[in-house]
Amino acid sequence: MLTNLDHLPGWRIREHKGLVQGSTVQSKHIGRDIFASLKNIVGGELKGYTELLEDARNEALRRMMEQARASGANAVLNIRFGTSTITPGAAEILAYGTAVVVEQEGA
Amino acid sequence: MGGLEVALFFGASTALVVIGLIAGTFNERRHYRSIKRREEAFRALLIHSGETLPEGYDAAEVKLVSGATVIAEDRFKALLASIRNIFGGRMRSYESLLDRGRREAVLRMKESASRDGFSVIVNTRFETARIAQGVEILAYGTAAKQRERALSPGGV
Repeated sequence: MLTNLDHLPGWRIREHKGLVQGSTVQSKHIGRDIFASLKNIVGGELKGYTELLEDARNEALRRMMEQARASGANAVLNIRFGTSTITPGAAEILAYGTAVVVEQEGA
Repeated sequence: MGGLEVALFFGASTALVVIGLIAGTFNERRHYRSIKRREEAFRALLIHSGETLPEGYDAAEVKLVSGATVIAEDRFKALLASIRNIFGGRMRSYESLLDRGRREAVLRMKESASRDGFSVIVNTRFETARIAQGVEILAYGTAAKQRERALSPGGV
């Protein structure tokens, strides 16, 4: 279970497993770049990049969940995202959060 | 550089700016119309920036939801901005660009939440990053579903 709250409504935290993170560095192929620079004349949404970053974000989340699962957690709280351009044409997508073991309240 | 080449160089740049002005303005108007229409359609889905669920809300399920868009300025906006940069002050051409991007991101987040049957989003956060030729705007938050009262007699 994933949330960006610091608690999970209806669930109680039994154990903290610490910080988990996942990241990916993504660059796009030259075709998309050329299309984007053409689109840059008229402005508007760069759909190719939107999709690319969405895939990258899902991948970062997946890596984060893998780490959480490996530590025995069943939920990640307080998730935050970060995006930064590290070299021209490539972006790093980062997802991080706190891995915890939760149990149903009243169980 | 000969006179013809100079004329060609400035002529081409001017043409791109004019194309940017016409197509960009048209795109922006169309985008705003679409944003307003969809915002009306998703008004019922509550969205909070705080961490707490609405009073009396008993969440049965929560999920991380997000919406993102990469939006680029047109040549005309870029030119306005570079002129504005000399004198300083508010860059209106970028303000409307970011406003559109952010509202679009929120709408996409709402769309993905309502598709899965969630009725409220709390703890909404925004991220903005300059990537390549555009600006990426991300909105994310935690969506929640109300517990069916009929299914839990006695209540917990």
